[in-house]
Amino acid sequence: MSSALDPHGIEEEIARIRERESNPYSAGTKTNIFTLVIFRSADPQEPGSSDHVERVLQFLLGKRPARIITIQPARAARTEVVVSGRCYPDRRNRGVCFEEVRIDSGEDGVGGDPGVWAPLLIRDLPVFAWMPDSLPEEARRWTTSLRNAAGLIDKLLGDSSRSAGTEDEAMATLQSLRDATADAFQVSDFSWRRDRVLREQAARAFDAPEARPLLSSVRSVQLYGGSRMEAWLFFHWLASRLGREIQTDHAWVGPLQEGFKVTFRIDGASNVEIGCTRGGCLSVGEEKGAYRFPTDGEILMDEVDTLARDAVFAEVLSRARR
Amino acid sequence: MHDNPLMAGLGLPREPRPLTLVIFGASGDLTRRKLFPALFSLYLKGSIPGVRLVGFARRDWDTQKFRALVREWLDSDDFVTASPEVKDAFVSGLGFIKSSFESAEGYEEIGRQFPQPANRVFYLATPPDSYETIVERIRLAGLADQRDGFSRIIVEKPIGRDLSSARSLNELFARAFPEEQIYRIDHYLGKETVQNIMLMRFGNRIFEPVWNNRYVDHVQITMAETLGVGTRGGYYETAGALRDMMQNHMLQLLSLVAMEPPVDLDPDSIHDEKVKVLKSLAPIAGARVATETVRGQYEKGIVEGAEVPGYRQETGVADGSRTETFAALRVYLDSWRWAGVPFFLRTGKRLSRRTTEISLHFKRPPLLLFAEKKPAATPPNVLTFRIQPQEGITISFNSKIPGATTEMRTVNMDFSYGSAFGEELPDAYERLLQDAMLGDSTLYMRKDEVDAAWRFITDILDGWQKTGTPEVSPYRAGGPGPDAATALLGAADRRWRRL
Repeated sequence: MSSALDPHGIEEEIARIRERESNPYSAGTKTNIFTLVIFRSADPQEPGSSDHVERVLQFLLGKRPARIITIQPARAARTEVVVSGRCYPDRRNRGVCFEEVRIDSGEDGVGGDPGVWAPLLIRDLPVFAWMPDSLPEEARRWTTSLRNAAGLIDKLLGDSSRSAGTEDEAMATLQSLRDATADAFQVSDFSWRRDRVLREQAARAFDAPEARPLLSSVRSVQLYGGSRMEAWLFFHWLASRLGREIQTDHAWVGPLQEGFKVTFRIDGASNVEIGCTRGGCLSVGEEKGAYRFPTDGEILMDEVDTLARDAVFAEVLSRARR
Repeated sequence: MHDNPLMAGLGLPREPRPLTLVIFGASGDLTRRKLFPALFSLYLKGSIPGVRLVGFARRDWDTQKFRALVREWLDSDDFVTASPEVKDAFVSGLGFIKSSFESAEGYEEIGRQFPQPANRVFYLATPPDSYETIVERIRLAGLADQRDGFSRIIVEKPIGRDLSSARSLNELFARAFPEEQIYRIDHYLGKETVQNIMLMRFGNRIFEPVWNNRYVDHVQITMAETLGVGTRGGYYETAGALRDMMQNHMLQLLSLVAMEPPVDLDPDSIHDEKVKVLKSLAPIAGARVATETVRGQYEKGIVEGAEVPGYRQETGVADGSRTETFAALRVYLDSWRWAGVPFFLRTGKRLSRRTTEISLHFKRPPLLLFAEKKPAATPPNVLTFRIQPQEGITISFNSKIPGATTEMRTVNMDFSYGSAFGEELPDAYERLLQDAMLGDSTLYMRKDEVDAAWRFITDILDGWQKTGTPEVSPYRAGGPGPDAATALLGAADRRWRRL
């Protein structure tokens, strides 16, 4: 349903829809626990604009009750607001609801202004901003909005792998967003989270007391699998952790969950290899076990569950500036 | 030793060192319903990469048969999203030893067939009457030696049936294992909401200032079940509610709600504080059992819409049985914090509703200004921890009724633990198994906790036996329990929380 920009009217509409949507759940509905503001660079209704945002949000539906505010460009002259809601039962038939506010930012350009969406944030609960599309483009479009709203947001989420530019540009974008807002909020990257499997297994491979000295003799590292951005993040993380540059080779590009292999070449010792096959089994030396790659939905849920700062990512991010 | 710089900031989930987990009673119900689902769930999370699982049972199975059965168990609704490949990979690592618990050969096979990993954890998923044989055989086979790695044992409750038998059992364990390698399960402690009691108390500042005898009038702890004894009539005849629930689960809840803040989260620091609570329990002995305890037994009635038999009509129960299916206690703690505050504990089967909760009932304001100064019109504030079902916390307080009046009514401020999280809470066994493999005994019972709890309970059991009081009061199944429990509260304006 379409509403004017009046926040009181929007809140009333949300309340009405919530009442209606929560009706079937005898055990009641859950209260919201955060607000997610999605800044989009493209209108997902337009042909060719594949909407992975909806797929990611689907994972949270039934698990995390929240208010979702989507700000997206529209070709209309005036900015308009559409309010909707949907509930999904948890296992005990309690409704877990999304209160959804879509702001179609028209040619008047007011849609991204915090004066429009900030009154709709739920007070005293965490606020997450998410740029799900192409980072540089979204950043260009919404930086002013974010700068003006810096004190209202706790964490900015992006996915550097979805960037059209180079790896350095994607990271520089995240860094510049942080700089533009004087570090007012944390920055998180879906690609960094997907990369965790590489970091974890590399750390484990060198964790045995007899393996640790080998780290100082790592000459080069070769990665099969992962996106260019994931490889970039892995290599920069490694250099940052080891405190020196090493030779790197991203030998093959493909989704991490399809399988990967990392080979550490070590001066004066045998190579150390870690790898994963499509079945999800992982081997570090002799150890074998299951590993389930997180979906973007799981990553988003993890991100909205914690406000802890990732100091290691911040360190890698700052390398993009150099 | 060199540090591993790659580990920084990863916050890797805790992982046990490589170990062999041997489950005695691998063909049993506990193994099927609880242990393997928990272990597979840990496997899916990548939490037990170096753990070798070995079943040990009398059944005429071999390794292939055991693997096939476990594979079937994993096809339950709980694991529909796990791929067949992952399930196959999980069972492909399972080992099995067919042996009676008495046969020395079976124990030698453990060392022979599974020399690595040399760290070992033995889970006794067996009836307690097998404990002595198994522990002794483990010791004689040299499997409890701590030479090539650690060797641990996990045992289920009940640890004994009174103070003397509990001590004997603990001595038996101690002959084979050092105390820090003995893990006594009370699965209640593995429940997320039970763990949340300590986090709520000591992770927030607002509760502790009023958590004492200056503000609290009394505390109620309730564990009510709608189920009867079912097929466990034979066992229950020798146990009763006091042994079955009060000695372990309820006293553990009591110690969590009454303990002082630990100095840190070291398991021993937490156990130390819990033991202090149990040691401060004012004994209920001799004739005092008549006034400080209530026992009851359910008669036939209607529970959740279905007619159910009385306790004496259950299979395995004697016609004239006097075993209590309901017990309530008025308990005092001789401590600075809680002196003078009664703790009312009640547990029973075949009650009107299944619920486990702890409630702190606060004193009324010192001066009654409103509602014509009538105490009854100023109900006390109550803080309730709901352990199950509908886990959460409720604070009730008084609020003005709209209009030209100073009348008040009670309103609730309600937090549902599930309001923040839509997914199911992990099963208690998952956390407990992982902790035992990691060597973290925080959620297990230490020997002196078991000892202190049994000392308190054995006084009551002795009192009941010697004095024959109080009478075992009958109560109708599906109701709130025997009337005698009401009198236990001692003051006209105190009421049990409605079930």
